[in-house]
Amino acid sequence: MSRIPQGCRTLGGDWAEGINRCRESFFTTFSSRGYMSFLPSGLQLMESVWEKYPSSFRNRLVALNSPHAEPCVLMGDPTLAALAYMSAHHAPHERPLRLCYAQKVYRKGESSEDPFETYQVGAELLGWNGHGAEVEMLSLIMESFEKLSMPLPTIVLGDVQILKHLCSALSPEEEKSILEALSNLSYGEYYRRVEHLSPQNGTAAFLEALPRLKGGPEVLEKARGLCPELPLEDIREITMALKELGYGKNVRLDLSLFREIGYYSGPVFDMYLSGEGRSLGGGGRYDGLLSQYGMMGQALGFNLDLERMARHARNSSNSETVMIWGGGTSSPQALGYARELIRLGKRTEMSWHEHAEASRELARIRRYRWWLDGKTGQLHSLSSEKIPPLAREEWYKGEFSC
Amino acid sequence: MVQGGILMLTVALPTGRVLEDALEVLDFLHIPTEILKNRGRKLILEDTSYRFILAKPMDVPLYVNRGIADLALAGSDVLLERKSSVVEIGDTRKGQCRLAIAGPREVAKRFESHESSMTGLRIATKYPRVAEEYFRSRGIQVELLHLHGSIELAPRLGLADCIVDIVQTGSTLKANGLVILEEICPVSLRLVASRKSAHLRWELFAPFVEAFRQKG
Repeated sequence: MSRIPQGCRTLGGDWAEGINRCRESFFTTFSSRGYMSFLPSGLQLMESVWEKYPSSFRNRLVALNSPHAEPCVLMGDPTLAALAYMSAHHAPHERPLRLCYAQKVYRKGESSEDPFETYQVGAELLGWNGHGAEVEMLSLIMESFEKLSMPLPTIVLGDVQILKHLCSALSPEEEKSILEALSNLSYGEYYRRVEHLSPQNGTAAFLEALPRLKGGPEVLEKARGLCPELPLEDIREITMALKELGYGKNVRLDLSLFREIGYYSGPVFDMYLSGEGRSLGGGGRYDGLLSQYGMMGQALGFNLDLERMARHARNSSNSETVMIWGGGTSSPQALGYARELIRLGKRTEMSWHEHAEASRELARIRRYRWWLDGKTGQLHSLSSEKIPPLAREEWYKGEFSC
Repeated sequence: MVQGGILMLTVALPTGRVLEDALEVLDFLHIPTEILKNRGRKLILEDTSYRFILAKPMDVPLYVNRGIADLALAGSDVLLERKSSVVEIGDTRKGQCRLAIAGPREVAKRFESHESSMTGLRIATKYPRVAEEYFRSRGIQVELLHLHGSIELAPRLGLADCIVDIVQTGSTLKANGLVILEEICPVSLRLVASRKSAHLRWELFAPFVEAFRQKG
């Protein structure tokens, strides 16, 4: 058996099926709203990405030389490739621009348990100013989950503008110290550092209260009470709009939610699936990055881990498939049955075995519920012997359930 | 996890010596511990509002990281070694000790002179990641030997020049003819939460944060 590199995975079976279903659901949803498919190169020139990523992310990239001796990194995040593509291929008057992608990405995990290679789905939206962009993107993500009949994830919403506003009253050293504690997810350390601050304008009281500002929309009122100048409008509007769209129960605010301040510039979000302690992924607004590509305006993107998503997706692909035995008839006849079943919304697999019983056995091994005899055109249930075979005229009307 | 309509908090606890410290912390936080004191050999224990998981100390962060447990008590040494992405709710100040480099007196000379004299040291440890990062950050190349226990044996038997391990009173070191050569960091028991639980169940954790803050 040939080995695969440490930290990488080759996926097949139900898991791979699940990934494909999740990917299709996202692509169908996003492409139906004007998001164009995007297939970035698996390598990026180091010179194109190195300075643009925050150091915490940069240090996780995998460097290598191309066969042409150009220093490169393996694709660690498709966002920069998307921006470069959009800036080079679309004129300003074409905005807003929308891209969606599903791509393997390679980077060292944040913790020792994280894999090095992951399969992500994501989207980027450029040039639509205002909170409508976040509402569009988040609602499309939720729609994609709904299509998969999966429990909806919880969206944890924050805004780096809040931290930026608060840090403006601190010295650079104090700012660094506070942000470091938040990025390390250490509240104990955070409070120790807040106690040593000497800020003005009542910022200390707010910084002290910041970790507690988690929950429903009421935390915005609490925050406003503590610091009336806080930029809370975007996050408020997004929350209200998502509530109106029926996702209110799935939105949770966390005003201390931290994402790289130098990279993100506005509302940010993380998504969590039931039964998972880790974030499935997330995203946010990154206007500053856009200007590095000579573009002005607002940019927003997200990515989610398809592999982990697929573990939660109900996998019913096998029970939905009909095996068609073509061993006893001509190939065009058997393939014709397949075409008819596909027209009825079923999935099919051809079996060309010489013996019908061997074909049926294979269908049972695959956990299929129906087997079609290409010789007679009859559809046989494999899940219950009590169900009599259906003649072509019967199943042709679609009156059988997978 | 839901039981009888009540959302339960799942708490992962380390087995071994540190469990006694963990129980004291739970008492301090008014989390009922009666069931844990009469645990027998059970590894999962439940009462009306808490479920407790008893795991090897080094495995505790993983249960939290993956969302099996909402909360856990884990040593900061273990958190450093596992580098798990978890939220630290507070420092309990229990189980205080130090992560240190220790070795025979004759090795001390190599730590007192220029760092280049440490090149090639053979270091036995239960904490290979911490040790590797510590020496690498100083540009010192060492040979790491990953052991799972009785680390102090390694220098005595010539397997290693020194060790990286936790030191509480220093009596075990002394008994094996070792002295502390350098301290890496202080260690204590920390209350940690999964990222998801910290977002979604904060109202349950907030009193714990406050309790630690007031304790100072």
